[in-house]
Amino acid sequence: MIIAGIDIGNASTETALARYVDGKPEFLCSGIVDTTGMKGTRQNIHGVFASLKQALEKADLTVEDVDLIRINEAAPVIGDVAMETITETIITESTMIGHNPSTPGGLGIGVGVTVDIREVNNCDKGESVIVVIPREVDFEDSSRIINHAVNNGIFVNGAIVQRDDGVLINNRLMKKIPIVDEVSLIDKVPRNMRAAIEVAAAGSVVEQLSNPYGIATVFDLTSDETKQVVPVSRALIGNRSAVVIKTPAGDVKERKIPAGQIIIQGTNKKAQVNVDDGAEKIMDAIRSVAPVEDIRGEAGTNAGGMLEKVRQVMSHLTDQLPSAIKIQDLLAVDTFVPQTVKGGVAEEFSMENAVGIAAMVKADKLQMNMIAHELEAELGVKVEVGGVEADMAIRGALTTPGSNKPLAIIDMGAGSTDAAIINRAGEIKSIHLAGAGNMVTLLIASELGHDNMALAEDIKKYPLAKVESLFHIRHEDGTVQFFDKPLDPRTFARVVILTPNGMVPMPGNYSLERIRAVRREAKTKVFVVNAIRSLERVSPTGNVRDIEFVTLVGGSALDFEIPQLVTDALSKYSIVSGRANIRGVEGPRNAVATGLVLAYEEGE
Amino acid sequence: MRMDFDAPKPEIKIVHGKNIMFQKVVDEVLHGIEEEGVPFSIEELEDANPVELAFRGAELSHLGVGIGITENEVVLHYIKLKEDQPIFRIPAYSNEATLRAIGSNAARLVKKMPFKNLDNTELS
Repeated sequence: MIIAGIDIGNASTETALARYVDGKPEFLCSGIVDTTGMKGTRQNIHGVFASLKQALEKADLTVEDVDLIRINEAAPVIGDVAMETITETIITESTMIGHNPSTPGGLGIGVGVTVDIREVNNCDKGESVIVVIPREVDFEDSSRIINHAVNNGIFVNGAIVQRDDGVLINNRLMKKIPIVDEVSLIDKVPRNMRAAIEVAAAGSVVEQLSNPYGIATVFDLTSDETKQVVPVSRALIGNRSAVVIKTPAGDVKERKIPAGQIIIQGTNKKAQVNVDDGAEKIMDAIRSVAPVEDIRGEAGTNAGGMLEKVRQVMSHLTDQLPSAIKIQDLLAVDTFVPQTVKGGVAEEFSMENAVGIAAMVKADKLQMNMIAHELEAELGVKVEVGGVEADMAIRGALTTPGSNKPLAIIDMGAGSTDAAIINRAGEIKSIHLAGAGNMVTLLIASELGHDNMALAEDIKKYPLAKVESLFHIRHEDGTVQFFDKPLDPRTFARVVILTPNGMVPMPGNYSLERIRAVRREAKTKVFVVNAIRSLERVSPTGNVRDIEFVTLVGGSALDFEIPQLVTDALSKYSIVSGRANIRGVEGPRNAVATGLVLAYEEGE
Repeated sequence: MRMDFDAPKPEIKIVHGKNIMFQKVVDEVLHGIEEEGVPFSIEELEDANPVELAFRGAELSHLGVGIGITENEVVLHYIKLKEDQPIFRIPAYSNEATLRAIGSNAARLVKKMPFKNLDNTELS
C-alpha cells in the first residue's frame, strides 16, 4: 500500500511518499511547496494538494494510487512578530542637517545668518551670512552672486544647496567656503537664523559640530542649552558635512516613548516588567515564572498594543475570541531602528532603540481534524491525523545516519523553534518556543531600515558580495570571482545579494561588513538564544550539559550559517550537534513527514 | 595622436565631433564630472559615430574611461568592454540632470562608486 505523510509547517508543506512492502516502508520521493495561509487553517488545503501532487508526479503516481494520507497533529503553535521603538528624536523647528552628501564642496567651518541667495545683496557690509541656494538658482549664477557679494564686503561664510552642485560652486568661488549640497527639503531651512556649516576634508569627519561644546562655542550657549544640543551633536558624529541652525525656540529632544509594562502570568507566579528595561530583563522575567500561561501588555501603551495586535491576528486566523488566545512564549530582542528624525530637513535619521518581540500562541487543536475531513471529502482517500508533531520529528530525525537514542532535536522553522528529546526508553518530551526565521527577517529589515520584507528575506538566506569592477566581485570571505561578460551596471560598486536568480543590488550605503554583521547578529540573537533556551527546558535535569546529541531540523537548518552558529555555541556545552540528514538524502527537511509515514508501521 | 613622454595625467577623455553646435550638452556632461572631482580633458575628432568616439576616448584616457558626444547621442565607454557595447548611451536631447548624471557616472566608474540612475531616480 502507498502512504503519504504530509507536514503542514509555518512556511512549507512537505510530503513524504512511501510504499509499504511486507510491513516495511520503502520511500519513493518527497514534495515541498509553500504553505498556503496561516498554519492550522482551512487555507492550508491548497498547499497540501500541491505538495502531494508534486511528490506523486515525481513517482509517476496519481491520487487514486494513494491508500492513506497522514497529516501531523500540528503542534498548535503560531508565531507572530512585532517591533516597537522605545525612543524617538524630534526636532521642533528644524535645527540641524546631519547630512552626508557624497560630494560636499569646500572645506572648514563657517558661521553666519541664513539668507536666500537672491537677497544676499540687500545685506549690510560686514555682515556674516550663510547663503541658502534653492533648485531654481544654478551653480553659475550662485557662484557669480557670491563672488559679487564678497567683493562688496559681505562675508559669505558658507552655503546650503539643494542641488548636487557643491563642488561646482566651490570651484568657481574666489574665496573658498564650506558648502553642503543635496539638501532636499531646502524650504524648511529657516531664514535669518544663525547657522554653522562644517565640511571636513575627504576621508575625515566633522569635529566641531559633532562636539556639544563645539556647538556651544559657535553659538555662545549656556550650560543648559549645551545639554539640549547633545542629541544634535550625537546625530552628526561620523558625517563628513553638517549644518546646525539655531532657532530661538529650537529644540531637539530625544524622547523616551513610554513603552509600558508586560505582565507575565505563570502557573504559580506572576511577573511585571518594563519594556524600556530591554530584552534581557524581559527574558529573565519569563524564565522566572515558567511555565507561562499568558502574557499581556499594559492597556493603552505600546507594549499593550503590540501584544494585542498579535492576539487579534491569531483570533482572526483561528476563529476564536481574542480573550481565548493565550500567548505562551515570547522572545524579546534588543535592536536598533533607523528612524527619520521628525522635523529634520534633509531626511536625516537617527538610530533609535527598539525591542523586537516574537510571540507564540497555542491555538485550537480541532482545526487539524477539520482539515483532515475536508481533504478526505475532496480526495476520496482516507486521511488521518497522526501523532504529535515533535514525536514525528524525532522519529524522522532518527533516520539521520549516525544518530541514535537518546537524541534531542531542535526544529528551527519560520514561526517557532521547537525542541524535543527522546530518552533510551523511547519517552519523548517537547517544547515550543517563540521566535524563528521570521523574527530574523524582521530584525534584519528593521536594523537596515528597509520596509521591504522580501529583500530582508534574501539578505537572510543568501551570502553577500561586493561588485568591485564591471568584471569581478569579491565575496564575503575575500575571494574574488571573475566573469566573462560585463556585470549589470546597476550592481556596479554596490553590495549585492547572491541569490540563485542572480545578483540583487542593495539600496543604501551600508557596507558589506555592516550588513553581514547585522545578519549574523540577528541569527545569533534568535537561533542561538532559542537553541539554548529550548534545550534547557527539555533537558531531564534542566541543565543543557546533560544532553549529548542534538540534530537540527526544519527550514532554517538549511541556512548557510545558522547551523554553524548553533553548532559552535552548543559545542561550548560539550554537545555534539549538527544538521540532520533525514533518510540520508533529505538534509534537515522532511523530518515530520517522514516520521508520519514511519509511525504507521508501529501502528500509531 | 600626440604622445606624451612624461607621466601622463590620469583623466577621463571626452571626444566630440568637429564644429560642434551642441556646446551646452558637452558642458553639462563636464559639470557632472567636475562635481565628482575627477580630472578630464577634451578632444575633437572627425568621426561621427558616438560609440566609436567614446571608445576612442577610452583608449586615449589613462583611466580607460571615455565619453563620446555627437549631436544625437552621448555615450559612456570603458576600455575593457567590447567596442560595440558601451556602458551607457543616452540621447543628446536628454535633460540637464541626465546629461550631468552620465558625466557623474564616468567619474564614478573611476572612483568605484555606485552609478546614478539615468532616468532621474537614485537607487538609494
